[in-house]
Amino acid sequence: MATSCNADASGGLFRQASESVAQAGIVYKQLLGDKGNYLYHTTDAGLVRYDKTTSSRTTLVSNSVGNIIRSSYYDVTNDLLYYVTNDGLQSIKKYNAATSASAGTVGYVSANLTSAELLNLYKNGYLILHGTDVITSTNAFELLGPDFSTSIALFSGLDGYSLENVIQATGQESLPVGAASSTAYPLIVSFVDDNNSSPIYKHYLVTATGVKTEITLNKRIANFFVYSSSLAYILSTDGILYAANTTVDPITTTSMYDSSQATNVNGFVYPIDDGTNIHLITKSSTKSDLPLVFSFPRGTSSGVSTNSVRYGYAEFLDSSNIVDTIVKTVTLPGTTSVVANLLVATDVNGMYEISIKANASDNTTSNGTSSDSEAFTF
Amino acid sequence: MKKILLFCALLLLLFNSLAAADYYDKGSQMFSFRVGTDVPLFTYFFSDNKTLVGPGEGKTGLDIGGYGSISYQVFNSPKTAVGGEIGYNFNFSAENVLFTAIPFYAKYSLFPVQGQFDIPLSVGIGGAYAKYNDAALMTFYANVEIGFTWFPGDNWGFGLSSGLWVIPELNYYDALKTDNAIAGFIPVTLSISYRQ
Repeated sequence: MATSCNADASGGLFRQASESVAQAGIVYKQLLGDKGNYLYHTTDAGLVRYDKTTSSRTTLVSNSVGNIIRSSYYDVTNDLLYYVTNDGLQSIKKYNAATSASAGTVGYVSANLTSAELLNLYKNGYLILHGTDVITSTNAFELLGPDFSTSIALFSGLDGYSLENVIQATGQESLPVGAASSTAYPLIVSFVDDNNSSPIYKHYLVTATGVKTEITLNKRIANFFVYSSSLAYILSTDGILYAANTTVDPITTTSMYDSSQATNVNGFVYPIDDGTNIHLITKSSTKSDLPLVFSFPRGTSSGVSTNSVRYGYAEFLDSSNIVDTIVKTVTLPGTTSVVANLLVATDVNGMYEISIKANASDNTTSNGTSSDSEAFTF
Repeated sequence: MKKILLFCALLLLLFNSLAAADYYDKGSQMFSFRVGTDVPLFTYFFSDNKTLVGPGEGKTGLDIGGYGSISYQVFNSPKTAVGGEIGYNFNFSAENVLFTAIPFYAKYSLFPVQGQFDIPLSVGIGGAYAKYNDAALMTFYANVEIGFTWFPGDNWGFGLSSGLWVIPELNYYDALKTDNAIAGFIPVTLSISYRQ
């Protein structure tokens, strides 16, 4: 007994206990956005509005058996909330946040699919549909824009494949895709063929201009970020970081580092650029794991080092499951001041406001700050 | 300084006044059942050189818990007894996850005061199985305790005791070495004892 066992522990016994945080009593699902004094989000209770003047919450739409909100979209411009539930109906429900009243349902139109089935709605208002390509009569999927009719990308010839996921980069989930917008951000649409001894994955990068390009990577993707018009970085769910050359078709990937740390699909993967290096902050699928930071020279595909971070911005993230993120501010790289200010929602430990500095990989209190649970501002 | 010396002198006088002829003989036996609470006192992390003090979130992270045990001792002299104890301890953490420890240890007690009232001074050393979340280990365990037991009759007694437990966590996996620590708890327990 001179040295103990702990063979399968994600952390020391007394360390985990010392870092335990009381549950906040709120089970966050999605952070949708804010307008004025209100922050809209979904919890296990339903669609919720938080009023910062009174620090109180109002449930606008309650979850009920057979009518649980699966995903939502907040149209900030028109102050409208859209959501889909598990009621089995192929409709998108609308809520008018300005009048605090339900506004019926809206439909969707696909000119490219027959028997189009709504699979999901995303935070940027995009829909993913499943059906049969009207021209090729093959199994197909289609990405529609937030007007629920404009086709952004059609994925056909996918017989045997089902939708694996639509992956949106951390903090960019509310941004448009395929629109003539300076804030547009790509997404990855992943499909899987489970009909073999091992699954076969197909991924497509859908760029800000709506162009879709297949990615050569037969792995399940956790998340990604786009560094430039020619380079993206992808993290697989088994913890391998890849550099992706986006100038070729199909996109090729190069393995950079194997962390062996599992990460959930759409897990927290957020880049900090200090002007010389990229520090990619990730959170594994294990709640008690410390955030792991991959650091490598900007624009390269090698030279990766990693560090686990417990202090500063990561103070409470090591004992939490992150479910969603909103980026409040991002400043230019190359400074030592705060680079990014985020709202990070967890499943049971509340929401934190974290500020991350350029030295994001330093395991010290100088790398940034974190508010206490629910002590966020917007 | 004078006050400390005076206190020690008073304590000595008290012990002498309470201690009559030895009550126990070599071979006397004692069974005890204990139940009570335990207070997480500290956790010291070697790599951080940091000590967290007290129960609750932001400190040791563990709340005040409970403890129960059985023990058996046999007197190897009129004043001292040896034996063992096995117990079960639990504490909930700030996020409501259960910490459990099952200590099992050899116990050596000195009875400077004995008879109708016993004041045992004990030291214990052994091991403990501890578990929290996905961490589980077998580790060392040590304690010191002081008790007070009242025997209204010859055999059955009722007591109160407290002390200090120490449980180290010494991981040999590289990834966990930075979490090596030593934790301390203060038990406060009631006991029922049977002696013969």
